[in-house]
Amino acid sequence: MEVARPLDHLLRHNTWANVTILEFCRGLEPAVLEASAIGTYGTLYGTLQHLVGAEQGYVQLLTGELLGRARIRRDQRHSLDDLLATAKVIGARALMVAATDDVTRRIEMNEGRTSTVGVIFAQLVHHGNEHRTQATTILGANGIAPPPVSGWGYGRAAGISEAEE
Amino acid sequence: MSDLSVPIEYDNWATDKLAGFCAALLPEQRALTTPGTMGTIEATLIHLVGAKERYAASLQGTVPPEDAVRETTTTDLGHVVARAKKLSEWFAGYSRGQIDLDRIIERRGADGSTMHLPVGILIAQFLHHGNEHRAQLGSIFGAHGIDPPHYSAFNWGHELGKVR
Repeated sequence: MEVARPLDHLLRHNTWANVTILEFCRGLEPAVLEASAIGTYGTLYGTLQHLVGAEQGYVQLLTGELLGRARIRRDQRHSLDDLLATAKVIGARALMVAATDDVTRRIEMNEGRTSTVGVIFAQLVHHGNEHRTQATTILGANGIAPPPVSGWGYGRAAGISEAEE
Repeated sequence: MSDLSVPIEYDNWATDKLAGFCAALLPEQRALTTPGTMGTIEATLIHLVGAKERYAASLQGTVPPEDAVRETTTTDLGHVVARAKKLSEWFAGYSRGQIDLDRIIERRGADGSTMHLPVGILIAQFLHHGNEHRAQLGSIFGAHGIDPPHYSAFNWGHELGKVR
């Protein structure tokens, strides 16, 4: 692996964890995707769709590009294959942006609001971890052991770390 | 502000904010939990800050100090809030310096084994872990109708004037 740039591992972990949980959920019975847990965002499927849809939006803010097979909308059903494909392409693009962009650059969001690039990356990482946690909470609350999505798991999967939970 | 200091300073802000909020809850509220999370509000907060102690110590090549928050012994949430602030100060200073993400460090496992890993992986885990347990606290609050403080990175950016 090349020398890591500052946000590399955060963004690589985020994409790896998204792919891990989406692939895991793709193997579940369809009824499980409609399960929820009190205090979380919604159903398991709705949480995954929101997770990927929001990242698609964050990367669009950073680049002006809509990436993935289609815009992910809350009121439309997208297959987990579609979400997986979109998660991979936006993850790769986010990594490229982080390597070249300036975290202090200010960009326009919506309704006249602006944000620095750095805060959008912090939000992307926070948001991904937050909703993956809600997905694992739903799995746990419904008696299903979730897949490992920690930074330790990413390090082991990348073959660069021995650390475990 | 360096690229990495942005998510680290966000983590500091969010954990400090939730630590103060949790410590101010009634004891019976701090004993609440919800299925699928790691435990009660109090246990989750102590684990969140206790783990941050261990991440800081690993980066410094030391062991956590005598007064560190520990899941096995800590019960005083005022102390947890104070230690969280101290840790945030340390991480803020650390994140502003030159960080060699490829430097290999040692981490001792619960069974006493020694594991090797790059600094970049420890930081990815530290930030994942903070977000994970804050999200669990958010689920517990939501499950019991407790209105928590807003703690997203956009909220942080707004407070700092980075989002406006």
